[in-house]
Amino acid sequence: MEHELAYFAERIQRLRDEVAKVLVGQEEVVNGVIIALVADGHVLLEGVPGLGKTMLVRTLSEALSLSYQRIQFTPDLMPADIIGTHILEENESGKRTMQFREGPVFTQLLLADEINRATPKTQSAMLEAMAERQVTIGGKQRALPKPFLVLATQNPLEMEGTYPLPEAQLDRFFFKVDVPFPTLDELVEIMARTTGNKTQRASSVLTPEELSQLRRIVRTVEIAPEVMNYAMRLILATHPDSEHGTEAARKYLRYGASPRAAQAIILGARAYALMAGRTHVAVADIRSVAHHALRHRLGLNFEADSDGISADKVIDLILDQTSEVAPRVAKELSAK
Amino acid sequence: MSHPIEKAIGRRVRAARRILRRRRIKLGVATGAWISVAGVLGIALLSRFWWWGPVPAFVIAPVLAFIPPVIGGFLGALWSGLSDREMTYLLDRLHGTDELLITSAHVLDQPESGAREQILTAAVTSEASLQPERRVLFARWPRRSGWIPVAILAVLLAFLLPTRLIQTRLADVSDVQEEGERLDERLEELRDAGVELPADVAIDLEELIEDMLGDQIDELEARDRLEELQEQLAEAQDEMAESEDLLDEIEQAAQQLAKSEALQPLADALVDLDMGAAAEAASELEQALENATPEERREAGEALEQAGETLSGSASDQLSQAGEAMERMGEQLQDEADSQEESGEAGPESGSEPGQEGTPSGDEGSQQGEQGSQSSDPSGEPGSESGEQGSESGQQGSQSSEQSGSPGSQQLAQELRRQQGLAQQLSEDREAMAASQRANGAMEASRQSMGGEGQVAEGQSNQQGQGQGQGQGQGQGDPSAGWGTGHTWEDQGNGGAGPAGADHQDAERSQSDRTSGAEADDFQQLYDPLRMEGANGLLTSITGQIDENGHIDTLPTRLTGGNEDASQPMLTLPDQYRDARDEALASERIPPGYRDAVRQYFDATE
Repeated sequence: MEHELAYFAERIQRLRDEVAKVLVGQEEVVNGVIIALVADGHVLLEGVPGLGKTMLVRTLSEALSLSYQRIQFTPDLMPADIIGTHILEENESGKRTMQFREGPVFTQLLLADEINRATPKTQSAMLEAMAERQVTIGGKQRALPKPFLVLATQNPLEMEGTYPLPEAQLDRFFFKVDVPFPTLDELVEIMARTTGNKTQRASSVLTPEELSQLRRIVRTVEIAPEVMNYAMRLILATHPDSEHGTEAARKYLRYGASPRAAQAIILGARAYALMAGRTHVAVADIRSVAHHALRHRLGLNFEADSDGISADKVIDLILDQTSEVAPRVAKELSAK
Repeated sequence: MSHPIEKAIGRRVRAARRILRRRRIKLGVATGAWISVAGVLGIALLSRFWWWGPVPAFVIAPVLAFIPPVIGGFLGALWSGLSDREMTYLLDRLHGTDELLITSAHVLDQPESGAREQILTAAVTSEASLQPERRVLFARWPRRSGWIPVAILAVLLAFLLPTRLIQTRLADVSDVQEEGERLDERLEELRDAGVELPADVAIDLEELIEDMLGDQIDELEARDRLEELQEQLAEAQDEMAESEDLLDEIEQAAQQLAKSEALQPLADALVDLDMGAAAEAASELEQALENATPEERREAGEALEQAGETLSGSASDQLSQAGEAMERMGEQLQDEADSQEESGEAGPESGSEPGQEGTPSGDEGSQQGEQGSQSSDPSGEPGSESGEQGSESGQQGSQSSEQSGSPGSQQLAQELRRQQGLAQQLSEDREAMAASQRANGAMEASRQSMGGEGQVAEGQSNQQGQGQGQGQGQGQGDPSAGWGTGHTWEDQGNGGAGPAGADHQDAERSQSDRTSGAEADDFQQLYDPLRMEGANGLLTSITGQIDENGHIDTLPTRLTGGNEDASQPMLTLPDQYRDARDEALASERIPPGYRDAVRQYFDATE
């Protein structure tokens, strides 16, 4: 295990370095995406245009030696445009047969750009692909290539002509990563890199097989029952109707996080622990990935909207209001 | 074979558990201390208003104060505490090891874990650099425990407030039932002595005694009810205030009459309120003065006149008329004294030497009768006729004293005889007042015995309740002087058996009181030091009565050897005492029932 930890750390560091060649800053975003990558989860990137979301996805595909497809979601985009369709083809002998033409979803790394601009019908075409890693066309199930990773983007500003993703769709994203605006230094660096003649390209540093190995290593990370218990109490704390629901949840949420959120937190925390050089999960790991795993899975109510309370703010409140340890231990700690 | 990290974790868990147990003990002690503070404060405040036990509150309170902290500490020591896993997790949080220890404990039970060795190795490495538990876990006293000393101070201050607590300490607080028996005995003695209480008071008192004997009421209620009964008695006495004034006037008149030896029977009869005897004494007055010198006659006249003035100013019309008759009689005697002197100067032959020649009283009576007829007859009959009448009356003088008396004496006798009804009423009132006084004394003694004013005050109540004719009062405190004075129990014994007017019952009562345990203890406590050998010069103090605020003043003094000369000749004292007595009897308002006792007591000091 010791060499696996080193192996994991070395590979991840190489991937980071490679991404950093192209993408300036955004370390939190890159980490979130890498964690989802090694945890076998899809990522929803949210940020205003021009922050490098597409570049990040393309860089990752290059660094990971993965096949890459990009779908620009528009209101007139049809499901067949994503998953593919049967077309009538004539062979050399003149015989006409129905041939299946794969859509862009048949790739290892799919960039669903501005996914909220497509209609719900088209958006739902992604459901099976994301959850089952397969698509069903004409009654026939077709497996998607492995690994399969969807990186979707959406613009939080332009809401006109958009179709917000339904809860079921959102729940299938492992993480939702907010892409912040670059800092001053990062902007300077971005300008330096992008306004010259020299163009940086990422090279392949990780094969799909190595990625599969990393994903296996992630699942060997130990988590103590007490820490697991904390993660589950955190999930229940987001439910306004639960006895474990916190005051913030009861005040600002319509519904809480799903079991997929718990899976995302645990897997994400395992990956985060590995990236921190540990082979066991700490409470701090849980807290570190909580925002990414929960922010798109919480249903804010009208009061939160009217008070201008974001999902991240609610998560902060829930984290504060949820004890990290069992009550008996917390009592002794408070009297330390 | 256990892993080193398992041993290390176990060692740390045990260390942490010991610290937590100490913390629990302190928590238990502190919680118990708060409970004690609250409880003792409650006892302190409660003792300000009511305290039931024979043991003082400030003795009970510290004893009770120890119990809750001890129990709290014991329960804290019994605290089972956290489980080993919980303790391990606690250590993780304390040391900031990112849940390495708890994960190690977890993987120790998971042999198939892929990261097992990696985690255990990391844990061993990390554990070695951890601080001892005593550096990260502290058995501190709970928060706000620092206020406990302040609370204790508050409790002490509460005890320092003026309180009945001191009274409770000093008083030989007896059980209500026991005091009920004492009160019953005292009232039984009063009943044996013929003392009758007002019917309503007697009934209430019987009920109270019954409740006390049945131990159905506490001291506070018993005292309150006794106080109410005393108030009822006081009201009854107030209703007899007019009778008391009349008795005072009669007594004063009697004193004035007693200045003349010839009037002593009349004075005694008045004091005894025996108006029949008084009328007889008045009728026989002429006979008593038959051989009196003019001076004696004048003295008697003056005494009669003074007594008559006293009675004529009375609020009672009957008594006033008797007083006027007495005045007239006094004037008559003075006139006779003048006449007697004049006739003596005119010639010895015209006078008659009493008994000189065996002259019968009838001759003397004839002279008196003659004078009386002259003075009483305004028509001014010729002397010869009067002389005849006088001769006749003189002849009958030896047969009937009334017939031998002058009209003035007959009128006085007649007026005195008319007072019999009033005298009877006054006599009954006097007995009722005496009964009330004695019953009041008995109740006061019981009330004070039940934590009221202590043992010294009980002596005072004895004086109030049994003072009539006994001369055995003791322990009358002087609040202004701040210390008590009084007679010893030996004095009481002498008073009861001596000539101070104490009757047989009084002597018996003295004897029974002498055997009373509490008072005997007082005697021993107060007077034993005086009997110590070599006590001369020893510093001691005389304890006075307790005042309203619960304070007791003491007078420092030094004991004597007992052989010193008196500072004043003893023979000079009785006269001084009697003068002071007369002055006090004349000027002070003293209950009639006590007047005889006071007078006789000081007479007996001769």
